[in-house]
Amino acid sequence: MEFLVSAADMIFTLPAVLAIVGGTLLGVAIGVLPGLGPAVGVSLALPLTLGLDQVPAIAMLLGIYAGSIYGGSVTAILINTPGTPASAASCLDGYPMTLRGEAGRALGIAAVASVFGGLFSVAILAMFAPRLAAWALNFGPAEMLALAVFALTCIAAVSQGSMIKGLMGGVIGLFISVIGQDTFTGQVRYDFGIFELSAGLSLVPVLVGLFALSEVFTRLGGGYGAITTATAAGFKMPSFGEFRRLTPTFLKGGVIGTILGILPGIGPTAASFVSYAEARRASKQPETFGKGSPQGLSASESANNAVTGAALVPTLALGVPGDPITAILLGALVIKDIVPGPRLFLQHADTVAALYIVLIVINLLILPIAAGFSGVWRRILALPEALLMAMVVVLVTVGIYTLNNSVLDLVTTFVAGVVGYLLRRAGFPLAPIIIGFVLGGMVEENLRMGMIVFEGDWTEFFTHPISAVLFALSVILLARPLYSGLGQRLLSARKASRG
Amino acid sequence: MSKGLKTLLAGAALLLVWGALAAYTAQMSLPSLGGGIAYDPLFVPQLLIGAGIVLAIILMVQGIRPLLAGIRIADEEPQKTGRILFVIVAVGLYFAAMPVLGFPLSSAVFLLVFAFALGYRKPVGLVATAILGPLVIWYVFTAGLEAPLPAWPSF
Repeated sequence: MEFLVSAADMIFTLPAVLAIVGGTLLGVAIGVLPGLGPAVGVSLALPLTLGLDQVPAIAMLLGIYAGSIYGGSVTAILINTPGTPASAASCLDGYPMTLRGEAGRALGIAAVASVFGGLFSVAILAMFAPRLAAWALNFGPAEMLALAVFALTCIAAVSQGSMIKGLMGGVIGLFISVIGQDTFTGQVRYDFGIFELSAGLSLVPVLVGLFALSEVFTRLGGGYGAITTATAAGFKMPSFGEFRRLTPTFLKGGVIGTILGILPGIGPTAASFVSYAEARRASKQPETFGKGSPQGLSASESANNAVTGAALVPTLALGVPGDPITAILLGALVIKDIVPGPRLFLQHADTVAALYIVLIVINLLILPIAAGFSGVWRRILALPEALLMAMVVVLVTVGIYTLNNSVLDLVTTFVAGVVGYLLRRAGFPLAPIIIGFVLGGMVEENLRMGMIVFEGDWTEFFTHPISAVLFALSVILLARPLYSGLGQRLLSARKASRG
Repeated sequence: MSKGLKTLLAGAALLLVWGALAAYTAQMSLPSLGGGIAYDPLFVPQLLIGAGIVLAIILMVQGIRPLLAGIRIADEEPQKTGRILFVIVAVGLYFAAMPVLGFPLSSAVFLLVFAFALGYRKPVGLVATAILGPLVIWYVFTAGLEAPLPAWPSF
């Protein structure tokens, strides 16, 4: 009980309240702008949080994260363009509702569904993360290495593009993490004679370059986007009867989003489509889906927001981020001297409790923001892309430079931006690079620690039950293209023999 | 450029990078503390370089196969080369100029040139953004967040 009082003390301060409200509002606005998703938003805001205390800093980033996932649905509903990929499924029924003249009702349903999904996942986070962390306290080097390998494999396996490209991204990220001083021997590696590199590369410049700057290059390289016009829309809360009818869908979407959100690499986009498909399958009127069904919209919106809390379960409990956004949050926590992992719940119980409360407040805030600012989104959508992207570059520059007043950080960001752009163009997913970079220290430390503890016998890594299961799952995931190809060949052979 | 060719070129470029890193690693002489490979600071980097080379070769094979079979999958989002070169060079110059020219001046010039060159033609909006944008950001960072930014040209 004491830590709850302490948590409340941390939250109900002016900077924390401003960070929660400002972050959520900014997040929704970022989500509304097509192309600027939660990863870009959170990475842009990270430097801004460096001057803030622990709770306001994390609250601001969490507000942007959860807010932008909801914000993406606004454009999906109003102009049939998802603000973030997570809201792509919301176009299917949200936009037809707008065409029917029910934009306000659709925005209301999306907001309520988002709040429902978000709150559900916070409850799961609060219930399961401490238990998972307590269980993981017994993990040794073999289990920790297996966990990191499993997370990386998951992310590479479900990445867009080929799995090989995803794996290559992971290896690149892991290699970036070995630049600088070796923690075991104190030797400096891969500094290429540049003194500043002896301390290694910082996460923030790499991240901002890879996500924010490469996004600017990709968007502007593709041609100047036309000014988008959206119809004016109000906001209409669902009636009590409609809320009651949609509650089972909200709940099911929340469950699906939470389960898929806990697994590394799946993310809100897949969760919303799975939830949508399940709602359609279970519906008594599946023919209305795709034609403006409130049930379809509720399913996708509750699921994608449920991912936000769920993705924090492995991040906080194990120190293993499931996607780039939680990787940024993990980096932000470390910068603020909060090290995620099994010991977090013992050492910072009050801070963790404060984060739960912050998440609840953020999810509740989405509703008044959605209702109060529905007229503003149209103006935001009319912002010219050239001006918007130029401002993003200026914000990137100022944010990165003020980290350490370092020119090297600017160079790192620029190089990461160009490399990120080239990798995007070649079809490489960027998420595995960041996850590899974040998990690099954990992988190297536990691999080498294990080799020392097991006296050089590497087979020991595979004989511990938990690590054996995780390594086996990683192999199954890696071999997926082989057996899915074999399955397809068997299927076509059977069809040919029948024909 | 087809997807196959793009994958082949990406694989070849990455093979070159990993190969260069392998050569660089081979000439590094970092004393290990003894007691097995776990104490070798180059143990993990060498593993990663090996994995990188193998994956780059697989990528090249993946890229060659559709080319040999005559399958051509077009690029989904074609980019304008001149425009992207301008964007990258402009951002690079701005990054280089900011610490020297100061934040307000370099940002004002950048915003003006960048947005105009990319098609934004409203003079009032352009000038207002170029002047007010950097000043507001500069004030928020220096006064609000107490994060110093280079104010004026340093020469």
